[in-house]
Amino acid sequence: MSLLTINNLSVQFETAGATVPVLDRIDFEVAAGDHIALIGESGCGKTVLGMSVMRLLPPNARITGAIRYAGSDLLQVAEREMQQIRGRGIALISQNSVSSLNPVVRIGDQIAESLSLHTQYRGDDLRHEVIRLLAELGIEQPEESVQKFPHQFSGGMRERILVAMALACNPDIIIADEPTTGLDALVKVQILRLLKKAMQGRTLLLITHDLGTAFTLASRTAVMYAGEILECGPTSEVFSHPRHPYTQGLLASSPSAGFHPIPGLSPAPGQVPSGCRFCPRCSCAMDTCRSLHPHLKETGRGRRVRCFRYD
Amino acid sequence: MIDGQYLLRRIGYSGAAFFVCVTITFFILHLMPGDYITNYLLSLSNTLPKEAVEQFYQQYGLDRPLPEQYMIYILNILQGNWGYSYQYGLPVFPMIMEKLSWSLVILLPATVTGILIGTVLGAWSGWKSGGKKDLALFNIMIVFRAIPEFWWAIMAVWIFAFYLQWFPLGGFTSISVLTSGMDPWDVLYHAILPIGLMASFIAAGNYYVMRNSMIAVIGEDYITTARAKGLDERAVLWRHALKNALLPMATMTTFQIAGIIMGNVFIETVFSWPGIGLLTTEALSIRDLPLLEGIFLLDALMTIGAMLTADILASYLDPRIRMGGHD
Repeated sequence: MSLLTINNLSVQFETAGATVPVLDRIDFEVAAGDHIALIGESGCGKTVLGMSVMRLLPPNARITGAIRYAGSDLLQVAEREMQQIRGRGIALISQNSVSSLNPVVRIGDQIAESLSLHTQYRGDDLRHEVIRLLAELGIEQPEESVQKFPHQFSGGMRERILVAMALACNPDIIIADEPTTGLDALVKVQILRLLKKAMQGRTLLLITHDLGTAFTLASRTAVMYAGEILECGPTSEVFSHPRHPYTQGLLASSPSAGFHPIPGLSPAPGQVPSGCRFCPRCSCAMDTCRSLHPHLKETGRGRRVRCFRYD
Repeated sequence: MIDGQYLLRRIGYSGAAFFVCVTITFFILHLMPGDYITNYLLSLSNTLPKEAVEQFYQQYGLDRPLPEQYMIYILNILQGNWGYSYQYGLPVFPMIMEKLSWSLVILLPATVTGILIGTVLGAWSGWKSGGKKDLALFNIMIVFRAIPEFWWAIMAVWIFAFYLQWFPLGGFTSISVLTSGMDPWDVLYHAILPIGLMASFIAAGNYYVMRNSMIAVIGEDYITTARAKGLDERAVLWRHALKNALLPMATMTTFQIAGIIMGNVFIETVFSWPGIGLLTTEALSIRDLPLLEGIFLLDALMTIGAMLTADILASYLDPRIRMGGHD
């Protein structure tokens, strides 16, 4: 039973004089308990996908398609209803732990805010719940910490606070957008461990360019490129037997695999090739790849690939 | 938060800065070409008896070497003696206070309402940035602020005082003051036009700063975080955006309030308002040095005080700023 179903989702940004497509007909399902990673280079549209689900894209974004959650289409519901869903149904762990916390609001208040919005906690109960959440996420001296401001915490601690904020109302789905950016290696490992524990029994949509993060946290992985999904399947399968040339290139470019970069650059939004979007950089491109646009096809064992080589 | 020791050190530096200001002012004023005799009594200076001129120089100590004059000046101001005006023969301090109080009548309400209106409009415009209403207001403010204040003052007098005759042409009171004494309502009636004009002008200035500050804030990640929690737009604005957007305003506002003391030369000139700005230009043109020194001394005092206040205020408003540096 899928919790979140994305159908034919396209997003375009209207800029001065031009309409720039960022996401192109994305189909995608998140089942309850799934941990799904969306991986890809910056600019491939993965963050936009996450923000479309939260419906927090800037006003110049034109969204079409459907995002089904809890019996309704999130793209159609009223803003009031959407506010009820944000934080409670679908919560976000934002990208940057330094800038995602309000510098002039005490962190206790920032966490309490979503609790008082979506739950019955008030007064002392609310305070205790905030302290409990902080303690659960490994913040030292939680009683004192609620009085502190974000700048008084280290990067790792701020990340924990962001996770606490997202978990506060026990949401159905958690969208984590690059949860480990800007953290040093040791802290990153701690946060990944913490997230892995915290996400047990929950549903996670992880957005990352970091293959290690995806491998650690996600049971399923979708690889995105230039606004579309090129390959998806169980994480272990995708990582051990990548099918799409792009996924193969991505894995080969990681430092542990010898750091062999994919030649060329990913196309700028709005300037994608008409055939296969990856074909100008692909080492095994055929004539068909240049003229026709491949579809995402089932290739068995829960895997799908957008490549003519698997026809 | 403020560290007591740091604050003391800061006050010490402020004292030093004040001393430097007073010194520079003294020498610049004394090095200006011309003096009271040649500038004001120009027509008389050739015919004045030599003895009279010498007596004037002697009386005010102007015949002594400049360093000696400077020492006397410093010792005097430390004892609270700001000297006597050449022109009026009156002690400088009470004179300044009298003119200042008239300046405050128009500048204080104008500055306070200007700041409030500018901040509110700027916050609203920045929050709605890119919208039709925002752009309309923004363009109006640009045009308004791009044309000098005195031009608007002249237009205001021409339209509202001369043509429509809603307000007096200038001055601070009617001629009836001679017979029936000063009437606060009459003063208010004279003050409305300059106050309104200045308030609008100050509002336009603060509008920009607040609008830009708000636009910068609504692009911040913590605003997205706030929305992602499910807060409605009103709560995002009041609880998250406004507090941050107001931070740069605090410093600006402190200086504007302190700047009231300098009066407003343009407005006071156009509306013939007997304030400190008008006094300054007059004193400058006739080289009334003691009076000028007194005015600039007060300006320096207020500006330095404003800097100190702004720093203390910022450390209370923004938890990231800690006076003293060490955490």
